[in-house]
Amino acid sequence: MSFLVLQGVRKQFGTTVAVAQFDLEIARGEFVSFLGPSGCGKTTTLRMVAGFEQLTAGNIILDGVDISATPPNKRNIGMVFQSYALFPNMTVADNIGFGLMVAGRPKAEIHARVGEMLDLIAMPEYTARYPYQLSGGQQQRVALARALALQPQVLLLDEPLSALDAQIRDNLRQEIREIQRRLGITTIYVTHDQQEAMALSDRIVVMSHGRVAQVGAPHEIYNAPRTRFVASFVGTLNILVATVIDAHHVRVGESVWQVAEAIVQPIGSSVECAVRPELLREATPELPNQLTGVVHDVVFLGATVRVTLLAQGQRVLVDLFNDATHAIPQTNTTMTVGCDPRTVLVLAE
Amino acid sequence: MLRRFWPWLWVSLGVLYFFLPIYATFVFSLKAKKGIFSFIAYERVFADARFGASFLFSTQMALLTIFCCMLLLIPTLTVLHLFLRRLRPIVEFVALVPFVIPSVVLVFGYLRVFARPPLSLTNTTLGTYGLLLAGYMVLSMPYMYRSIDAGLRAIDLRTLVEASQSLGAGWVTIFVRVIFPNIRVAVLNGSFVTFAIVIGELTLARFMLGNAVAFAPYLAEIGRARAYEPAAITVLSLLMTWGIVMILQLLGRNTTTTIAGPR
Repeated sequence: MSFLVLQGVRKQFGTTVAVAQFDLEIARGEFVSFLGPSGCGKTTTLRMVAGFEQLTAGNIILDGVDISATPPNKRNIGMVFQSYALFPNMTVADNIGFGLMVAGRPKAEIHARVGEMLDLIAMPEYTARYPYQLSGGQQQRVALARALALQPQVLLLDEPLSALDAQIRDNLRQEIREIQRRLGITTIYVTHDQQEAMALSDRIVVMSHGRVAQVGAPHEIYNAPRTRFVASFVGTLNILVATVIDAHHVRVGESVWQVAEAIVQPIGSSVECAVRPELLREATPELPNQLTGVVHDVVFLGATVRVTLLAQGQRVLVDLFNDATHAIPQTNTTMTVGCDPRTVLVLAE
Repeated sequence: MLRRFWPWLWVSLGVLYFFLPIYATFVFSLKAKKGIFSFIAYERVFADARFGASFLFSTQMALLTIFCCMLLLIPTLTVLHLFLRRLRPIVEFVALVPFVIPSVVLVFGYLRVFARPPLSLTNTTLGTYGLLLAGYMVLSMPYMYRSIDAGLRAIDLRTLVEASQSLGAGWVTIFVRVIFPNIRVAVLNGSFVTFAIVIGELTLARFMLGNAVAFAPYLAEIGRARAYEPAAITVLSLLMTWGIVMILQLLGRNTTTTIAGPR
């Protein structure tokens, strides 16, 4: 049974629809990310779950109870904000103990729980520090501990890592995932960073213009995007204009490509075929889908080499493994690449 | 060397501008006895019971004004910042109105409205004090408003409120534990100005209470009849006002509470 259910949730600000018909079921202990560009409605949806925004329509049901009209301070939902939102007048210990103090827990219990939380975020020696004495990463760990101290039913994280630098972001991302797994807390994570969403989530909800574009496990979203938007937003994609020959063949320029999944568009119609750069490789005779072009640019990225190919009037990206035994392609030379028919996606709009 | 000269020159001029009149007043207050410096004027001031009583009354009114202004303006401005941002320019304009309305107009307006039925507040002492308090609140509103507004602008109010709510806090807890401690310095700044305004306010107090109840009317009355005592009272009231402002500042610094762990 689903632990958190969003049924037909809609939010309108005046005439602007921020979230339209949002339906989602989240299991207990699941880690779900809302992924999408700015203005897609992901934060608004999160804020409705938290109770900071009233629903225009729909229901939010938590553990069988409709909380749509419950005020935020009665929901038992913890939240971590992008800007940390630590109380500047309180020490780390006071910040973490705030929720417990509000709940009227005995001082001894608060003290013990604060200690546990400080151990959880590996900051036991920072008890008496004030927020201004901490780095951004430390502040966000304290904010996480503060949200978890009350043992909320659901934890909401609103782009918690976006204000941090890359190194700290990577470390804290791991910590968040480990803590979430250890505590088994149902979590919704809002981000516009696809790598973050894929690294953390059990499922990703890709959103666009206030609607759910696709829901699925990270590998499903990446390997089998259902729309052009999802395909182009998650990961890098080559989109090639093609003409349908039959249910399993398209013409890409002068080449005929095979497509594993049956094409639903009528014969002769123009479609868009998508291939990930890492799924294209230097052509071998057994590869059926081939494309020849001129190497325009080569960028060495360490583990991979990104080649930009100009083929049939289109720019095609190819990611090759950096194999020390093979020479790196040279610019202005001709190169033929190919891919497996199973990796070609025919995109719906 | 020249680079240090100009800053010091300006600082010295500022200090002279501020302290020279006070120094002159102090020296004058010591000349009550011809040919020698003495504290006779001060002795006479302390001998007059009305001095202590009027200063105590005005101090009490000032503290009450500060408290009532805080009670009125902090929630109002919080609501404005959180939910009614479009109304802020209008409220800002209203908050500045006391600057352009002279106190004498304000007090005659009050007396016309509240000295007759249906709201005959001036018929009772409590009613008159209440009216005087309201007048003080109006006079100090531009300063308190500006200070509190600046304090609220300086913090991420919405996020702090939402963080508190997500931790189970209701509005009273949010005001007392989160908002007030974080705008305390701003509130204190407004409070100092309010305190000084009430202590020195003459018109409202004189027309509502007569000559000797509040401090400023008492000072004006003494000034008409005597020469050296008003100077002594001025010096004393300055010292006492500074003293009280310092006490307020010290009290304001120690309002944080410990929830858990050492500090």
